Amino acid sequence: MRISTNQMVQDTTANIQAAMDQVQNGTLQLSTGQSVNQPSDNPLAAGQIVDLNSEIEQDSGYTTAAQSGDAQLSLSASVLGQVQTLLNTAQTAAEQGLNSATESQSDLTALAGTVDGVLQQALSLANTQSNGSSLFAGYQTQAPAFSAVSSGGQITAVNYQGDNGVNSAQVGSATAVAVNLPGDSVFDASGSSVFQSLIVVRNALQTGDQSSLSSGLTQLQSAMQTVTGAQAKAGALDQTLQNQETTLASLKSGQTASLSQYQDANMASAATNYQQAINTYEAGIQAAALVAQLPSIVNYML
Amino acid sequence: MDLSSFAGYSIANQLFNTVQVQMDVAGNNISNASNPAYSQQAAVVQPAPPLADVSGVGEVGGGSEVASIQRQRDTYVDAQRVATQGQLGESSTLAQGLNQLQGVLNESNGQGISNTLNQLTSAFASLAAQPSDPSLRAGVVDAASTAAGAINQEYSSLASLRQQADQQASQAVGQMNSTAQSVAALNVQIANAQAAGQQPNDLMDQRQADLETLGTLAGADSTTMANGMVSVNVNGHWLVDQGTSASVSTAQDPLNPAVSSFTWADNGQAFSPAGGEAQGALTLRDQDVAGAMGNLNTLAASLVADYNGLQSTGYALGAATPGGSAFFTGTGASTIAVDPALAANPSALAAAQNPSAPGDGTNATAFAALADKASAGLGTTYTGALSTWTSEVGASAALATQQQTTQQSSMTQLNNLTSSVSGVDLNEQAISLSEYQQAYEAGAHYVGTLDQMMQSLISEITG
Repeated sequence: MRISTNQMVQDTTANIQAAMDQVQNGTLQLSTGQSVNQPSDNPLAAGQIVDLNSEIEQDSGYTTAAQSGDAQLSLSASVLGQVQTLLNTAQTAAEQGLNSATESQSDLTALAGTVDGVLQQALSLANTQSNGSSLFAGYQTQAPAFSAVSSGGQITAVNYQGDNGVNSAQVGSATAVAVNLPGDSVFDASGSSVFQSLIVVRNALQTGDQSSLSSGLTQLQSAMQTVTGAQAKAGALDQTLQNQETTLASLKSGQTASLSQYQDANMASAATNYQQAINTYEAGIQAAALVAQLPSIVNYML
Repeated sequence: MDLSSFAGYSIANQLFNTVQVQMDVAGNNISNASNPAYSQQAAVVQPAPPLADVSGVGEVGGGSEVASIQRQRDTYVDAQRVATQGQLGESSTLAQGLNQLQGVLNESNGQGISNTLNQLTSAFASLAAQPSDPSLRAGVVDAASTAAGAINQEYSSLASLRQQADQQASQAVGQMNSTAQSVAALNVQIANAQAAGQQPNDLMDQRQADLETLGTLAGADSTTMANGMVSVNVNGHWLVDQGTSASVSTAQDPLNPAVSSFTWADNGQAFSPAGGEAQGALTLRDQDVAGAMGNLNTLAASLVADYNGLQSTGYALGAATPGGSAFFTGTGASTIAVDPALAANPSALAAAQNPSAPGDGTNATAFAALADKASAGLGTTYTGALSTWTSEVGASAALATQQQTTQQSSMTQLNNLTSSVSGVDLNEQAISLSEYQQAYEAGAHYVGTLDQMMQSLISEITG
């Protein structure tokens, strides 16, 4: 084929430009560490990356919800543990008042004072708030769960102000876990009400009414079982959330690994390709330098 | 019949004339060596008419003369060049535009609309657990504003891309009109020159360059006619006929004032290019960018419908009746925004599905679950749609780039073919120059010898 002078120059320029393009591409992969820098680099992978990013973000939303539920449930369980300790104190006082016929009324009054203290602390624990929301009020989180009716300086009745609403945390596409225990079923269940039993026991101790004290104690023990049961339930739900957090974390690491397969450049091969592109480019400019120096026949004629 | 004694001078004269023309042609070639549109020229030398017919001996030649100065050109390759320029112009414009488009729609870098929607979902998931927390409510409103803003922003970038493609098409059409005029004028000049027996080589180079420009601009197609003129047509409508050219008018599209419409000035019919930059720009404007804008509008309308649906059946913080302010206002990608009433008062957000239940986050959970559901307007999830669109625009951009590369290499091959016929080789010219120089020297000797002979003869006669 006949080669014109201009063609030599144009071909050399075109080859250098093609090599520059490869160098640019290699630089981009190395500097971003990603093989898909724009959708056309790998359209299918680009779509998968969007999907995976969304799944990862969704799972991190589930994780946030699980952590938040976890915090509420462990606070609930801890509050119920404290209530139990208090109720143990009240139980001991009631048993003391019941067992010893030798106790004087003044001793009984002192025991009644202990039980009244328990009542007040239990009420305050039942009204525990978390981030400004009442923990045991069902959906009525903006008001205290229980309100006390007082007469003569002491609590005579405790009323539940909440409802039986149970809020669930969505912690997986098909997994929702209850994160609150409505207070009526925990503190105010009929026949085993914490507050009612404490009031009965306190009143019986104050008046020395042994038969009322005895039935109050039975109620109190029943209330203690309810609280223990509620604490176990909170613990179990909390455990479910913690397990889910672990599941989500391992899911996320799997998704992150897939994402990396789609979008991350293989640095070893990217570096090799880059070196190759640089070599091609260097060869191209050397060739261009040689073309520029290529002697013409004119050099030998004059 | 005898030959004149001075006939030799006539031959020598022809020789010097011929060599002079050859030298001039070589000089012209050398000075145009770096111009790729220039075709190498060659002096076609033929024997001059014989001096006389001496019967029984035969003719004595009359030396040489230059018959014509020919342009070295392969007309078959020329036709291919015009066609390939049309394809290359179209795919280059498309590849460049689609690369910009995929830059705007880039969801695969972890940013983009899908990311803002993911954040919105997460904000709802956090709120669901503590629905009366004002900072979490504000977080939802912020995330929703960010998502709506991202959609507005992307839509306005797409509108700029559409405008850019529109301008590109208008410019291509304008340039096509003026180039067509130039071809018509060259047609006339070339035909006149040829009728006068001349070889209008440079004009023909110019016209070939113009025809390739028309290919690049609009995929125009040309035919050479017997009189040396070319006729050009674009997708069945004439553009250049002998010495006249047609033109395409540009006006605001009455159906869509954001873009231009193009019509043939002679019959008012719609102009549709057969390829070239105009075709690439129009495909980009009317299919790729318009499609992306339509997709974004569908997405925005679906978000408005889905989020407002849940907002209207849910209960605001502690509210006894459902509804209240909307979640999103607007109807499409350019107008979607968080309802100003909700933005001003995040407690209006309907996180509950029960009346008077500030601690109820079931509707917030339902909002968060929207991301997982196929939206009625889209037939798939929001991110599912975005991921499909990302793949599609990526595939289109990859294909257009691929086609551009292929056509670029066809063009390179044609350039090489053209160059092998028409390009100037300086070595070749230098060798020719030394050949001409030697012919000139030999001619000079010839004249010297003739002269001596004549001197001898004259001195014998005059004594």
